[in-house]
Amino acid sequence: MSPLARDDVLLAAKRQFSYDDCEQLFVIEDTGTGSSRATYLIDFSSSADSASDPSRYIRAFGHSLIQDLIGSPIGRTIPVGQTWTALGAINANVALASGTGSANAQPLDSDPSSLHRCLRALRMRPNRLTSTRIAALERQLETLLNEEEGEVEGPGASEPSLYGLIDFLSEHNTLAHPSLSITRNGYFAASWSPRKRAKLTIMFGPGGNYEWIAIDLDATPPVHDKGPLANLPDKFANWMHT
Amino acid sequence: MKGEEIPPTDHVALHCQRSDLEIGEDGNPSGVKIDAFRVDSDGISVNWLEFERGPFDDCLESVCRLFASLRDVRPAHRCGIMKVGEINQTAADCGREVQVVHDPVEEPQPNPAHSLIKGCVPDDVCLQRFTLLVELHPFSEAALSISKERKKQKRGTAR
Repeated sequence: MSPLARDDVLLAAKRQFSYDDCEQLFVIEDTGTGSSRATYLIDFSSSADSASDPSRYIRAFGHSLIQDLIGSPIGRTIPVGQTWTALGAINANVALASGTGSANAQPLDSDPSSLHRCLRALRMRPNRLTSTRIAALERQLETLLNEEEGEVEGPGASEPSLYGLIDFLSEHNTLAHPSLSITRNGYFAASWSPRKRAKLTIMFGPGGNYEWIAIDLDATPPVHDKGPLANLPDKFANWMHT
Repeated sequence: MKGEEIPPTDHVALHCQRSDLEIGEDGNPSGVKIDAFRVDSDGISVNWLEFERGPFDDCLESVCRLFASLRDVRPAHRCGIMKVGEINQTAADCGREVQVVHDPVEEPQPNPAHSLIKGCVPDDVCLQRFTLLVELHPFSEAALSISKERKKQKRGTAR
């Protein structure tokens, strides 16, 4: 599943249920056919993995309750109001009645905090990042999102944006770990400073719209440039390694 | 004196809240983002660090305590310091003319160090550059206690 497809699932999902093993079930209702498609969000390293070896993630992630319930990972169609029995030896049912999902596992709290949601999103992809990177991201999320009582509320954080950041860091795993911030619209931004008065910032916007801004106040004349991530010049990309 | 331009060798301070900060890999603030600069109709509010003369560290502590007496200051917040001359130069490099002027406030609560960076507009391109001029300092325990006490008194008054 490409990062964009994963975002599409998140954005298209009418309902989203989180289970206590940090996995998520997205229910996308199709009013035209009266059926719902339950999409199981899992972590393939590429779309080819799922096609060639649909059970691969079981080995990667261990025994999964939702996997037992839903069967093969992507795109199974379940008629609304009917009961579908999972394939395999597990005798478990998933029922979708009037768009309400129920299963043997109960959804977690329906309105978790931004911190809770983001930490869960991070833990959904444990094998994509090094343990050092995960620990750093957890520390950063805690500081950014763990608001104290009475504190002015910051922006809610966008999970698709966090997925974009995680995917970017996992695809470029030799980069220095960035500083993190959250824009006023809730999108994650990663920054690298090669020296004191220079900084590259990548903003993980909606729909895979990622942009960079580079500033170097000590250049003559000062540098202040920006553009889409796909067009990031090498001279600025190198700042991410320092 | 109200309207007095602050010397380029002096500094101004910003109260940076959690949502204004970038966080480093150790979980501590490592920089600020553009939102730290709130542009009002009269300018960007800052406090003049050297409005009472003294060694830098003493001035920093006074301004931190002043922030704490006026606002909700928390351990995760930071006091961001910028040199006035660097603000002027950076704005000039962007083709902007800014003025950093003393603007003491009497009401509702006196803030004798209050000052303004005048000449910027919201989302101004030079605000992005200003983020690189900020040096972050944690608030001292004494400053945090002042803020806590202030909150307690406020709650008492509300009751």
